[in-house]
Amino acid sequence: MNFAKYLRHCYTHFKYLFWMIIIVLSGSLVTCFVTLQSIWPFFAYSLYAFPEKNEKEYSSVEIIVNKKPFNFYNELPQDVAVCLESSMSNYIYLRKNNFTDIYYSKLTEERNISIPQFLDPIFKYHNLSDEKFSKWVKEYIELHSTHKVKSLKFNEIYISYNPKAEIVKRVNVF
Amino acid sequence: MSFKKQFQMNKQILNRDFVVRCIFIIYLFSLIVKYFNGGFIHQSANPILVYPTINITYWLFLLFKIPQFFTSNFYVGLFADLLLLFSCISIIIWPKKYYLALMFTLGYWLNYMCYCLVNAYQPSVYAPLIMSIPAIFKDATKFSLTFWAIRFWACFLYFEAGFLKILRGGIFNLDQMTNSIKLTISPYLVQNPSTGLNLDFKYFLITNPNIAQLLFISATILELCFLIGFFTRKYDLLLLILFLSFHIANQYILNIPFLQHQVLFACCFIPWQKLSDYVISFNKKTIPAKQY
Repeated sequence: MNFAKYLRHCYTHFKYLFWMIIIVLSGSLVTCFVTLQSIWPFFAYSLYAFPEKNEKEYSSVEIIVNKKPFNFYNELPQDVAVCLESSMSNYIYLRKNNFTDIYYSKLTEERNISIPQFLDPIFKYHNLSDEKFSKWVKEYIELHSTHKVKSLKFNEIYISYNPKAEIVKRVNVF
Repeated sequence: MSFKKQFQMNKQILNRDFVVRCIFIIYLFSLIVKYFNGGFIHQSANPILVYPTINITYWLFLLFKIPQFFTSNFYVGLFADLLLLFSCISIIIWPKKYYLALMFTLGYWLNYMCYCLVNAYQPSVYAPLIMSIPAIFKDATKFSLTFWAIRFWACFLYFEAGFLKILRGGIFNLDQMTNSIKLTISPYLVQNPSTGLNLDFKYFLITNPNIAQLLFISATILELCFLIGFFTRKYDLLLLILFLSFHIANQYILNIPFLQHQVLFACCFIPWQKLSDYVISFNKKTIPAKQY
């Protein structure tokens, strides 16, 4: 059955679905071709569609647990490791701006758009601190591994390829 | 309705209970994988950051503080997770109970929003969000039509992904694949100094950008092949193979998880009619008719 025939069936048997398909399809086409840069459509599979720039160094994070580097990509489930890295990178960004910067401004600057003000209460942080963040990291690591976290240290790292990936710079966060 | 139309329609109607059962068995499998990957709400340990992203649906959830409420309390999160698991298992047992499918769908949306809250926004993991929707319809015709709508949607998404790579210029960037690998898995590579087939292959692609780019172009062509799905269902098995190859390669090269999310889209390309006919005929052969 091709799409045109399917739509005809849909129109005959299930009109609500027919109109739903038309709305969703036109909405997706608009977001794909007109607003993809600014508003991500919920249903779009556009990974790596935009050209990735050549970078000399790639920044990431390093966690020192009980005075030893914690290889979270080896010791934690993949999703948990991704979450830890992503959360820590975001926290470092926030911290660099003394928590004064609205979290999403990085995105708005990159995409040159404005975000409605009523969203400020969601994305503005008022009581964020190193203690609170490290408490969450500690709990998260302990929940997903067998480690008992006694001490925790974070570094921002810069990775370069020569040709293997290696850390070329470390900056202590706290 | 004319006889011809009726006949054509009958060919499109699926064995609802059989298909629902199979879909939710795959859901159950993906939930188990998700659990071991820390993807349940109660496993988020009350996150304190909100990952912002430019998506209206996600904003709405955040604005009403729904994910924040569920992740802030361990027991509330656990309750939501158990409800999700319970509804999934229940549908496998009672596929006709459409309200269980509704409960599961709402539960999965909630789970996804909480997952985004803690695990960064994932624009590419929405297959589980929509694959349960057909089961909400009790009527076999409505179920089948919704199911086929999702199948067309899956074809559209993958074709669109390939098309966007051309439209947005990713495919014309000669270092696209190499840079994508570096961007995505640099920390993983740093934490794995030892060698192995998987790591060696990743480094091979990093040091050979031309071959890596050839792989990227192949992936784009593969995605464009999903346009066939709009014209016929004859090649669905081929699309299933392409779909699995694409995601297995993604998992292997870019560490993009597959089994806990997008695996659900495989349901769209499974030849359900043949499969259910085979199961029914097999049952008839093995289970003797009742003697009265």
